[in-house]
Amino acid sequence: MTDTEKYDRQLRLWGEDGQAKLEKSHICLINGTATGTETLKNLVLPGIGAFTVVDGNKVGASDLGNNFFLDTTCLGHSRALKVSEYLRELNDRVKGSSCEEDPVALISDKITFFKDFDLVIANKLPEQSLITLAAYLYENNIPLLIVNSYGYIGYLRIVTPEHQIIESKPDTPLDDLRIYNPWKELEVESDNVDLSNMNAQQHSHVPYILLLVKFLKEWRNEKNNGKMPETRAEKDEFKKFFISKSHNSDEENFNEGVKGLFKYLQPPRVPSEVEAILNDPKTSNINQQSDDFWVLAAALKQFVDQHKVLPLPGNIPDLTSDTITYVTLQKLYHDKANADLEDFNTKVESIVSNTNRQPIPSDSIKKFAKNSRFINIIRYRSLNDEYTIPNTSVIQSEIEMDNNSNVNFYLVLRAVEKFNQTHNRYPGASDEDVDSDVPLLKSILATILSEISISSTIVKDDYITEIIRYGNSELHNIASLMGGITSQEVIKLITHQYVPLNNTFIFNGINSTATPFKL
Amino acid sequence: METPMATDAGQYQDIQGRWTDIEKIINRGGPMADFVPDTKETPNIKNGIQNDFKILVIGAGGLGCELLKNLALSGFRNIDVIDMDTIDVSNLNRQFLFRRKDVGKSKAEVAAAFINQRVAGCKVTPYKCKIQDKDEDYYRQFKLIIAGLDSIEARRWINGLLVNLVVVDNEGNPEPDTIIPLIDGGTEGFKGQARVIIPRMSSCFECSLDAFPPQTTYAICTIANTPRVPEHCIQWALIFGLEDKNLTKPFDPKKFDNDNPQHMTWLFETAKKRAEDHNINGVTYKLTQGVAKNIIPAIASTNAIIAASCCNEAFKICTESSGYLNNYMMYNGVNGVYTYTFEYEQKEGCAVCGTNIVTYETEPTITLSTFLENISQDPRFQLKKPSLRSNGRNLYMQGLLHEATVKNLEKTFKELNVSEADEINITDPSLPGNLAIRMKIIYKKN
Ligand SMILES: [Zn+2]
Repeated sequence: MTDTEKYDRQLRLWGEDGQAKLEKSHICLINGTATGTETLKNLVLPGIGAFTVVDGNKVGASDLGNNFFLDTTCLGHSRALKVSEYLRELNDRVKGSSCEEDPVALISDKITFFKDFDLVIANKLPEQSLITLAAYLYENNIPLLIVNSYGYIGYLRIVTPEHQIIESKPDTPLDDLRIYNPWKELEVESDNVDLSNMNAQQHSHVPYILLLVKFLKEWRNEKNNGKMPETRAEKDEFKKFFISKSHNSDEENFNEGVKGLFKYLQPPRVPSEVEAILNDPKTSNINQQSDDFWVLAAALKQFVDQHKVLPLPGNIPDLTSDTITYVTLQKLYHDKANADLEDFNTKVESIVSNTNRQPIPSDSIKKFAKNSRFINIIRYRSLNDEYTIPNTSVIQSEIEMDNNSNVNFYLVLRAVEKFNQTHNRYPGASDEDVDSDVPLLKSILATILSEISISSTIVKDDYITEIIRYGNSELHNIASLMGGITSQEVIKLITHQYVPLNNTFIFNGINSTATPFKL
Repeated sequence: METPMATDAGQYQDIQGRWTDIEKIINRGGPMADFVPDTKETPNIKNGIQNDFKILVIGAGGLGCELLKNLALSGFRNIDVIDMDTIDVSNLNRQFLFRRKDVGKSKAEVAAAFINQRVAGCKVTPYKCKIQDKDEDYYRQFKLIIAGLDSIEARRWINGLLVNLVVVDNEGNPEPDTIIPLIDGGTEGFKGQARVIIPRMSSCFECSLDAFPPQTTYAICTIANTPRVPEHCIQWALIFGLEDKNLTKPFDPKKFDNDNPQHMTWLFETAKKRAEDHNINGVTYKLTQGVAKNIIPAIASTNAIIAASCCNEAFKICTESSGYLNNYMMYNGVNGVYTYTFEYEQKEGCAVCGTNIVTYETEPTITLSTFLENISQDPRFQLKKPSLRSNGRNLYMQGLLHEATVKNLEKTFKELNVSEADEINITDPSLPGNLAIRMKIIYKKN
């Protein structure tokens, strides 16, 4: 059982189901820097199951200037050990451990160390090790988040082959009320509405759903040869017809109907994200090894093929109505949703038995059916693809649109990592190198740009001088901001709720702008 | 852990090399900043951060804990924090300076003690009081102020005060030494915003009131007569149930307390009974709490993002080592990572910082009561109990003069002799200080 009192403010967002997923997760952090510990802080607090910090460094003086999970007593001790100790204090329900090995050595000698984690966060990892680790985790379906804070700039990249979302929880979800295509019982209910025998109070309390269904049918049959209003003129005409049925402009139920009118006159449509899932090869290729998600998607495809609509979610918004009519209407939707669920369930069961699989828990089936409008899938490009088959057009068009685009910082950060690989130090790390590093970094950037087939003059020199000025400094504010963003994305990936970033994010702390890129 | 470090922050001797990351930024100039970097001989910026500048943090909650940590690790050593609240269990999922043993203690005091112990050399001074308890002289001592508040009223108050502190010279130019920047952060679930207010130079908090959506309210007649959703039943228990003498209560209904579990249990059961009587499903204890306390979801990650952005701006304002946020950043993490940075413009006729008068178009046939209703619902003004004066006459007054003016409500502007281009002065308890909105009436041309 989770701690509902302590976690109340977050349970209102991701619910007990999301919380249970968090509490089962084991997350690995590579390097207990400020950026690393700030990320873990926001995951330990809401209660992940466990974390492990991998870090071969000893605590140095500069750690005390930017890392909150260390103090003067930690100087000279293992950084992995000390930050784990201080992070654990945040939440006694979370297990924390440390590994004092150098992550670079661990990746080259014992990469299987990483195979049991649910997710890995990498910070300040040299490019070569990063590419090796990213490839290994990609193969093993373990999400990797690469996060770095560099002076005033922050960088985040998410890498995972496939991320399934069951509850994308959009800010303004479109409701599914089947006003355009009522099922039989809803149509009968609206036919039974007899406005002529109502007093003013009753007349102004007929739910707009019933009014719209009723008058759409009437208008179609009387005015449009049974056809739905399609053109703008027809829709306007229907609107006039609908309004003419109200007693006066103060009837809230009619006003609510008018407000949503054009939305409800749209033919029902399967959202494009869902459509893509239904047409995905994985949906038509179910076998014993398929994830539950794809089995459910396959059943959903059968459902949509048969009924031309998604299963009814069954909830209705609050609307002007008397209590009894509202409760009756609610039950009507609820019953229909249950009938749809039963049908969906039968399809799931038949696929399960045909493929000899373990049955899927009924809770999962119900959640999937209820959220079928909001399912989504993200397939991230691998890091190797990003480096070897660069997404030139994205970068090109970003800069062409705005030559001060934050993509400039992505490019110079790539050059900085290459510089570190070549010279075994970061550009501008010490004061005496600040000027002499400019031409060195410039030539490395030119090489990278030519690999991406982009003109080497496209990035202004200012970006090179500015990034050298930072000299690999990690400012606490940028570390904390990137830790906030990264932990938020981790929560989305672990809970399979909301929609995570795809795939790269740059924060520009100079003017406080931020840009996501799909690279 | 160590005992707290020396109380006199200025005397603290730092470990060599502790601030190398910050020093790179303030010792080196760059193409994207216009400032004089520190040298060994003239460490002006570092002296400023460590000794000269005093920063005030308002609120020691979700944002406040983050703000204090960020300021301490940005090198600031003189920090005040004001918060009147005490620690609740439901704070512990994000307010990371507090532990279970601290529940019931002062947020400001526990937060300050934690920072002082963890970050050697930093001195945070806590005040467990309302911001209104402090006078202008208190606020004048700060280099800048960061607010991490959930109350709009408190933010309006501090904003109004800081705008008033600015001395404007004969030519109408604000004197730079009297300007205290206000950095304001706010979060709700996966969303938040950070903004920089330079009083009299940029738009102020009051200018952007309509960016805050009004609270969800339910019509009283729905609650009384046609409840449909569980929220209606909970509201019924709050409004009618508490007043109903026929309903037995294990407490004095006049002293209903949101934080008392016994009171909340009564509320829940009363709402549930009401719901059952009307065949309504879905009244839970959690929902009852949410509605009664107007609970807003809150998580550590969003607070971290917004607080870090606020402190990044504070650091840049104090060091001038980079550009700055001009002047509003919105963040939304629901779908990907979405941010929008833009300049919130000064509002015409802002009651706090505006010099202009707001114009209001209406008709001479409008009754005073309709006019009152319209401006009360106008999100630009956020009024509670407005009083109206025009041409030296009281049109409608709250309080003692209410009796004398209530008869004006049914009169039209024409009957009240409010003519085109007349000015109406609106005062309201929600306006900070003794400010008034000056509204010029324009009549629609037919
Ligand atoms: Zn203003």
